[in-house]
Amino acid sequence: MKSNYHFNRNQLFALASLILLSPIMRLFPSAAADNAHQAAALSAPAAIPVMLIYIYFITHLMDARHEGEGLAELSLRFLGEKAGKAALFIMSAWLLLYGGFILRAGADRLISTIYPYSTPPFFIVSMGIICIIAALGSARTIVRTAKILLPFVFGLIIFILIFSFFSISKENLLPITIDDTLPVLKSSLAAVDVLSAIIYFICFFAAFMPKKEHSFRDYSLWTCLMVLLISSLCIAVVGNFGAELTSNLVWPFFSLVRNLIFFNSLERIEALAVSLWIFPDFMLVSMLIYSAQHCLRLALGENIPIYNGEKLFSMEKKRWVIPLCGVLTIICGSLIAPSAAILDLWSKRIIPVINFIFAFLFIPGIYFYGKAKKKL
Amino acid sequence: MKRLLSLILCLVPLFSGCGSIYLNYKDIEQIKVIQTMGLDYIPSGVQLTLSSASTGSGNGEALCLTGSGNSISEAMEQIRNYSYEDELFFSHINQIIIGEDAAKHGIEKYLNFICRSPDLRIDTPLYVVKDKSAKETMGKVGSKSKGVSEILKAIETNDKLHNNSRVISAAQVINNLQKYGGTLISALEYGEAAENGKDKDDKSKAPEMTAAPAGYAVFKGPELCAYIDRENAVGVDLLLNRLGISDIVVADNKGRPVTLETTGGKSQVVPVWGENGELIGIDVFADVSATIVEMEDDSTVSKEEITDLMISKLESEISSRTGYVLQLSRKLQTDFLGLGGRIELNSPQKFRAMKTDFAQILPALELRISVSGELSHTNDKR
Repeated sequence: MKSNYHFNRNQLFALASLILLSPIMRLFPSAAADNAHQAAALSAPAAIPVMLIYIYFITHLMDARHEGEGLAELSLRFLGEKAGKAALFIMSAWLLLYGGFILRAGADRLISTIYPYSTPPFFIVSMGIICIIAALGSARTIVRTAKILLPFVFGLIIFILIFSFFSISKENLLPITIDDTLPVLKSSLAAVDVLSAIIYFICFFAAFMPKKEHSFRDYSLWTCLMVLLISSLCIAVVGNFGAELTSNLVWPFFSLVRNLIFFNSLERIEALAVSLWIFPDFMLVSMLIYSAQHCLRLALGENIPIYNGEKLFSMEKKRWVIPLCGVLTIICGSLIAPSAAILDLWSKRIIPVINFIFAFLFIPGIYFYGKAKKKL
Repeated sequence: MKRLLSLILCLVPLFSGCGSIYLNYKDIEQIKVIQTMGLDYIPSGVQLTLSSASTGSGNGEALCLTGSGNSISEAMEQIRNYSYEDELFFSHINQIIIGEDAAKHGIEKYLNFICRSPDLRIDTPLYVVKDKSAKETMGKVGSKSKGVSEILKAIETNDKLHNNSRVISAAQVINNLQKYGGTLISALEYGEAAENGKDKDDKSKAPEMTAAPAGYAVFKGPELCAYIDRENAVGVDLLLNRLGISDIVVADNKGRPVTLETTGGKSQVVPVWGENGELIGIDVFADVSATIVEMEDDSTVSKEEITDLMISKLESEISSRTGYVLQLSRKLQTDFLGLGGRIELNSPQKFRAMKTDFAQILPALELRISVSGELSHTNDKR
């Protein structure tokens, strides 16, 4: 059946699941083990209550949207012309900064795991250019590509998890006591950070979807599945390496992959695993550039056609903003962290703080302003 | 767009195959796959020895390369520069041997290197060679057809079959050092190979040497401080709940040797807490099963008497070996057995409330060992 809409919610969740892999590999097993030690696997489940509240809020906000409205259009309508445009500029700046950070973190992952003699600019620029091409296309292409790639990436993860579970040591995961509550709650902030970011990122794409009831249930279910995935990753890595060693490794999941031997004949597939992680980075950065250009073009007063695609290399209707956003992302990625230590600071401090401000102050601010102005 | 894609597709063949513009290809024959790495201490830094398997080398002989430098990387670089091999491939290093001197000077820098290296696996098994350097061992052991890599592989395989694996990986060592402040690493000894049998009297022929398992090397922090011989390693295996097949020779009622073969066993570590919540002792409860594999027949003694005697001998022997290992841990004030972890598993809150580090209070703890033996099979003649 032909539909006016670009994609449905299941396809959007496929995109969300894929792009989630990019930040969780950066933060998860090691940061959780650092804070919660043996109880690292409980960090993600501990985030569920906060996430459910957040999902309730965000679905309530998105229920107020009209047909063809995403988070960007909604903000513009709620805040009015001037404040709305200012908010859109802030949103696009944050999305581009986050995109640049993902490019830089992705380059670091490739250098640390398989290309030790390389430098970040090559990976940042080449990935950035590919993402610009993707962002020049339609949101539908991005989402459908994610749907195609998802089984490959998740298939590999499940394959790795199954094999790694055979060598888990229970001493590395136990004991867990009531004393672990605070460390677990502290480490759950990383899960809240990552999950909330992905949830509001996909809200920018809501404009291309039909309005649907029961979004709270769907979002909650997706969150629970992702929590299960994060917990499984923690169990596999901490159960094999122990919390102490896990917290000292930058990419513990890929170190685990390096150790595994499959069917006594296949080993050293970490290059394949790391290479597959290019896809989550590619999808996330493409999505961020697309959302950022969408916000900017709205802020510049452009009426963006939702249902009819635009020509790939056309620069009409202020589409020059798209390559500009891509270039800005590449510049951000190149300048953001000249060293691994600064990248670590961005990863563990700066990006999570900005994200928390955005997710828990900025977006709720838009909601409450809209509510006060009776625009809900 | 379609034209662009067509152009890209047309260019694809240029990037594939050995004769393409892609310059980083290597024929498999050009690559020397290094399987064993040896690390030795020298005053100026590190002496590195690398060995391939005999089968992985073109002429059927194991390749052995040595270099030195301030660091492992520098030594590797020296080997690369001064070797006439085309390409050394480090990603399949399966064993790392640490010389005794290097182990005494501390293995921290070697562990850091393993953690950081994009080539090495973090679960690579570590060995400490007793009274020798890694270079000497790797250079001299084996024959033309079997080098050190094959010997260590055979040790690992036998060990897995018989002892539920005494091999300890770099990841386990790092974790143990961080968690308990001490660790065990499998020890090797250098000695004449059993293959010398037929040429034993031929003085003109140099004897073939081999590396053999020799129990465990004990580390207090990153430094080697003692060894546990093969006999007492049974005590370690029992305390770590991985007791496999080990021969224990005891005497019968007439003093004749009887060989008992352990078939399995498990231990339980139970902490004893004082009134004020302080740890005052540890009770070790162990169950061991064994079979009689070799003994002289004695018609004057009943089967029940023999069984009872052997069980008591088995219990006493196991108790003595376990006791030796626990006493060593107390004496060295090092929890290389990870007893702290087991006590924490048993009473997590009390353990975490302890004011003093577990290793420090080890010497003051009262230790009680209770072994319950069982003869699962006597292999009697009819």
